[in-house]
Amino acid sequence: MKCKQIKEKIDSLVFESNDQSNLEVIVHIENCDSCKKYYEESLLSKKVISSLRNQEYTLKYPEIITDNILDRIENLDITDSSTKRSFTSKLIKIETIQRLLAAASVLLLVVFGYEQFIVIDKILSLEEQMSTSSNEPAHFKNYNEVIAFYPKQVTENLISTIKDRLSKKKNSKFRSMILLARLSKMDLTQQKQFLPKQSNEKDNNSTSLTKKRKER
Amino acid sequence: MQLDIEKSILQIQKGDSTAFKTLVEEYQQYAFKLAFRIVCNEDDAMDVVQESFIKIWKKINTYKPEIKFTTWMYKIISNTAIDKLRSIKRNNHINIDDVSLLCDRMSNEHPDVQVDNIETGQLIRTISESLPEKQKLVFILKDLQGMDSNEVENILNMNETSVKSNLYHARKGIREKLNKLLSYERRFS
Repeated sequence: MKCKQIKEKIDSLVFESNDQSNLEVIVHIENCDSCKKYYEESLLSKKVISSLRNQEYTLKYPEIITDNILDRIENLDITDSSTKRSFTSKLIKIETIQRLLAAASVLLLVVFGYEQFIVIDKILSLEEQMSTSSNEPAHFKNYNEVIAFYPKQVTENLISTIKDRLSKKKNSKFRSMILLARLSKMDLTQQKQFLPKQSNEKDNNSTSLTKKRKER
Repeated sequence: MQLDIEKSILQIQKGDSTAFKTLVEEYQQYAFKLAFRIVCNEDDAMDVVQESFIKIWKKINTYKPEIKFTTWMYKIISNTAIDKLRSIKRNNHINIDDVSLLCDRMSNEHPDVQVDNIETGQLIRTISESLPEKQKLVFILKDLQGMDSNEVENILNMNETSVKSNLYHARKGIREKLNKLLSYERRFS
């Protein structure tokens, strides 16, 4: 048996109190200085370790330690309940914020709805006003036909007139955008009424158009 | 009267602090012994005992009866003590003369002779401080606490081979350290 294996056996013999030492190990220890030294050192180590193991290590003032532990547990319970309370108050705060947000959204809807209403109302009144002042018969079927029929300048005039009319009011940019968007879908009988009547060019074009129709 | 641990645990799980007090009184000396062997200082060991029992109170609902209560408790104490060891910086100097003298006394006198806690702590610290954490824990649980291998495996979440290997290397290191101390003492005696 090699020294390494013998040393393992010595460990088992000394530290594990394993009495199953065989003759081979004893003979080896007697004849090998290194293993003999290892065995003796192991016995001394075992003795010191056993002594350390048998020490009492008494906890001094155990009552104080017990009281401290119980006090800390009590405080821990109080902290836990206050944490729960603060959690509840946080929940309440979140609910309040949610309600405020809901109210704000309703308010926004009302404001924008009113804004929309004003724009539509304005468009309708404009349409009405234009239709009463115009003698132009309805014959175009859509807005694209108007643009195609009239010269480019007239179309530009039409848009600038709308913008001019709205620019005097608050939020004109927003309203103009809505109005123009609405115009693109508007029935032609209404659209043509936006044509700038003051323009000579427009009058000439309108007259020639009427003449053309009469001829047909 | 012996404590009915299962009954006590059920009561503690319901929040009974009186039952917990009884449990603390029953096990705090065991807890202190283990904590002291790991941190090698009375004050730190007392801190570890308090922290460990507070953890036990907090985690009592996670305790499973399939595991022995003491195994579960020792696991908490070991972890708390290791955390404590990592957090403290050791500046106090150990007198090698005192430690080697104590070592010599222990190797010659009867193993049951009682020595002061401070001296014992210094000796354990001297012989085990150079060991890696796992080896140190295996040595303390197996050779100083006298636990069986199965319990050590459960406490440290190690397999049998790992425990054996760590123990072998720990004993080797400790034997070398003790020999140095003993030969140091013999030089002057």
